Amino acid sequence: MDDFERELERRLRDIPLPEDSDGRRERAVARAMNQRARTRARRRTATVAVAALLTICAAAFAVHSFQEEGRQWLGGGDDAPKARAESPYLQGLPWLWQPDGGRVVTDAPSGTVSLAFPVGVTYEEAVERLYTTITEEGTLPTEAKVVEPLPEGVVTREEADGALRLSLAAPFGYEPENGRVRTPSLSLPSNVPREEAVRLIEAIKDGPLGEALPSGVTLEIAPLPECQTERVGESRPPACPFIASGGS
Amino acid sequence: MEPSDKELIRAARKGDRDAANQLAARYWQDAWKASLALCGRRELANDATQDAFERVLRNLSRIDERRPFGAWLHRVVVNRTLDLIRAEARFSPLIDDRADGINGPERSLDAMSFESIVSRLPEERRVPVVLRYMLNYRPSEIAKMLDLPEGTVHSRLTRGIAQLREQLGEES
Repeated sequence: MDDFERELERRLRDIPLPEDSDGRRERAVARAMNQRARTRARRRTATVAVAALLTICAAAFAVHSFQEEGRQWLGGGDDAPKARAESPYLQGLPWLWQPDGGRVVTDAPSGTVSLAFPVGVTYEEAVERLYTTITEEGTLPTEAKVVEPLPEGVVTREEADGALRLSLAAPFGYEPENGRVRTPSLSLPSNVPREEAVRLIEAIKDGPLGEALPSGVTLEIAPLPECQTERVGESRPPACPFIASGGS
Repeated sequence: MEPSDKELIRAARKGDRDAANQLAARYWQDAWKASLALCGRRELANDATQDAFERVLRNLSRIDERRPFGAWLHRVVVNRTLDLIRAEARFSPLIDDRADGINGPERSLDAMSFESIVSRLPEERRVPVVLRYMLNYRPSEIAKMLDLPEGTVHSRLTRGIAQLREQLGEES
């Protein structure tokens, strides 16, 4: 660093703060914490509906996300539904929007983009980040770049440098034979009493996803069939039967 | 002993307002100065900084504790400042209200013109310059934050500094 750069650093640091800086900071903190408290309270209320659902289920729970267009999301910040509805990248994706029941991978809008994650991010990490950010904020992970679509039927591609690309058309994959997309699901431990299951559901709705999922609760991420993956520099595996037969 | 960022974040997630205040106080000043250097306007810097802190604190649950909190916060501050600059159609880097002393009467003319010049750098140079010289990030860290190759960060810093040297007439 030369003299000019040191002077640049000094002058930037010497910028005087406005007089009401502390007050602005305190007000920003108060607003944010109030909103967090309101969100937590609303999530507790919403738990009642989930508890009713649990009376039907006995042991193994696969808790799907459903609310928008007739389905409800688990978790989620106040702005998330609006952001999801407005995101140009999330419209019409069959794993997110299922008003008419199960949909197939080729229902994704043509030109559905993919995400390029930084080197080192695994498939499971990428999917979990995608789920968490979409659920909590309605946005795509900030560390991923939106890039061109992957070939039809391909869910992931490992680039030459090891970086992962993930298709937004069906990030959880799809059934090779019939093309039905896999939707996000959270698993609760089996053999838990109903009260404990309700508590876990409440914890999911009340808290963050990802690293802070309650103990024993996991986002289900099944391994992808070989026919849905691609590695740059290697020959592509045969397409899944559904895609090979024309995808309809 | 001062609590770590991680400890404050965990407490704030549980609703502890004092912890949230302490966390915000640690980063507010630098964040506001960085925002001002990016936009050159006090009111815009106020809005961007407040909005960025509110977003970050509302979304504490999203924080990846393996990564530094400051880097995440600073990225949000930079993005919010740039968003507001773009959104404000009437914004012009040549507006005259700076001449009234945007930071109050105690603000020196020297500092004012300097800030003003920094805020007029093209965005692709201004952001790395502010991250490097205001927030003290290394080029490798800036590359990660901006998702750019490190070489690109170096060249943008070099060009930004060269432009500042030229505009300041090597006064320093």
